[in-house]
Amino acid sequence: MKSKKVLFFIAVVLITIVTGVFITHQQLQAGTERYAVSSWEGDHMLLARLVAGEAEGEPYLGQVGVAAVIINRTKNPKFPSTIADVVFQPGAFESVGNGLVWSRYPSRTHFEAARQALDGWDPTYGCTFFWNPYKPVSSWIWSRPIVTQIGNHVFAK
Amino acid sequence: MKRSYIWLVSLMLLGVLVFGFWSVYARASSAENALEAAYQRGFYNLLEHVNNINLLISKSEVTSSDEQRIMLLTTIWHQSEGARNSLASMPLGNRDMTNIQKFFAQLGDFSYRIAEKLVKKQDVTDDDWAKMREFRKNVQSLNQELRRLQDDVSAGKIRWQDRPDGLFSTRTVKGMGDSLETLDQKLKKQAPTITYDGPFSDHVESPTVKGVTGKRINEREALEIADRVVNKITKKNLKAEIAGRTKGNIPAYTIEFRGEEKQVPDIIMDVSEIGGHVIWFLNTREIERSKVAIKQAVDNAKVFLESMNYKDFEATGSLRENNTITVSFVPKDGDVLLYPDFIKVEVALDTGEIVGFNALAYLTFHTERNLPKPRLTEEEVREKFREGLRVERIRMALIPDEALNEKLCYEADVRLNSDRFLVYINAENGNEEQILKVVETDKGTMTM
Repeated sequence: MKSKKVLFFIAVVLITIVTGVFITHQQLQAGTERYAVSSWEGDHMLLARLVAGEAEGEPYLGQVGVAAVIINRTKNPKFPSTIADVVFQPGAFESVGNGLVWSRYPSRTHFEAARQALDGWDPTYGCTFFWNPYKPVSSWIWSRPIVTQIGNHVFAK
Repeated sequence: MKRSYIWLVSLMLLGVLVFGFWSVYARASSAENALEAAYQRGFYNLLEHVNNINLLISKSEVTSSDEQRIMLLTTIWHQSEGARNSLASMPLGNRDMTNIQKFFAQLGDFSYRIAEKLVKKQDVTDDDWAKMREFRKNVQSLNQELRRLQDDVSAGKIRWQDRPDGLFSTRTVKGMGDSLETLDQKLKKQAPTITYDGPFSDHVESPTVKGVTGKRINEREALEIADRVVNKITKKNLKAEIAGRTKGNIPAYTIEFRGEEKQVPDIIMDVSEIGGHVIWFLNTREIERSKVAIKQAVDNAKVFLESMNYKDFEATGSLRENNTITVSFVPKDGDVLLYPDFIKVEVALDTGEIVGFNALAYLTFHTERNLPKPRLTEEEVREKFREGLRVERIRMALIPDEALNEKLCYEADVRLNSDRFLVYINAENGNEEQILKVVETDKGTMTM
């Protein structure tokens, strides 16, 4: 009797592990498929995705600001010169590192903010950095001259 | 009998666990190795580029042929861009690597400008060559430091990912990021600040503000100014408050307008601390389906602009997006369109209200200019175009180049078959300064 219970228990554990491994495997594969980004107006799409990943819950102006920072970087000698190179520079953006940029589909507002920044709207006056002052960040970043704060982000040159 | 069952099952369980662990570990380690490989590729490419640049600069000093020098200088530009790309591919985004990036951007850009001068048979000054020598000194020392780093990498003392050597090892391996950051900080002290005619010159990043005039205003005056503007664009009763100060090129008060008991502001506006100019504002309300005709919207924008005391402007383009239209206006000095001083006005197409305004460019660049007298006549410009091109219209315009130098040009509207182009011919020396392709889309006319 007792051994039957043990057997049952072991069987359940086994099944759980096997299905667990199976499911994570499936998810990993599904994840890679979703990585495909439409090349149609690619810059707009990428910007909107980054806005969704980095500035979800921020006021609209803060979202335009984040998109503007990316565009300002492409024109600045201190950063790579295309939107894709700036967005995917390893270590540059948290949401690219943790995959948020892929799992969150941008909303209409995110697209709108990205579009307005592409049209040349820059509420940050040429900033190339933004960060959340309530979260820990590298200390060197605080040495940049801060221009303004919008929502939970400070923007700096 | 029963006992052996349990043994068998436990063994299987253990087997599954080991397999599970191994498969996850294998996947993680192959991903890590792929990353390490990508980063190492970046590093070795950087070494190669820096070495090449070092060589090329020294050759450009030796050669006595201008043709050869032009080839060498443009190759330096190419190699510098390669170095920038390599740097951008390495995991340094969360560190201060901006100085080394900027160094290569400026070195490449500067070499390109000198090559350009040589091509155009302009004078390359001693000062230019002195700067080039300074670049070379920095490249040389950078080259040495990178070689030293490479020795450490080959010896296995340094790798990209800071993780323990093996499962039970406590030996920490020094991260590459730290070493490169040290190089960056060194360069910050040594690299020259340079101003020249290129988009990466130090002066382009923060242009001198010319259009802001008047005396300093206080918060109350800023609120009054903002209120007066908001009353022109909405009938809603909104409450204004100072939300903060902005310390950009033009220091400003940020003012927010919101309806009663609303968290999110409806309208946000920046008013400059000096002179009380409205730099920009934005109405963030939801915009319903379009009902207003485009022509009406453009007229509204023009009327609003004039009410802000911006008179004698010409609409040069518009972009329709979702349910708004953004109209670009450019002021005129006599017959000359002043493109650097543009102002954009955004109109909602549901009610025809103004929902956006941006005069940052105007306030940054506008000033009383003494425009030169054109040396070329319109007829001479017309003759410059090759056969097969149809010139539809010629007018005068002031355009900025990449280095923000302003150039007085003839703007020729030119057709090639069914394609439309704007060609800018320098009115003083006849040089062709720029070509823009005009593309008609369903959103409006765009130039690229």
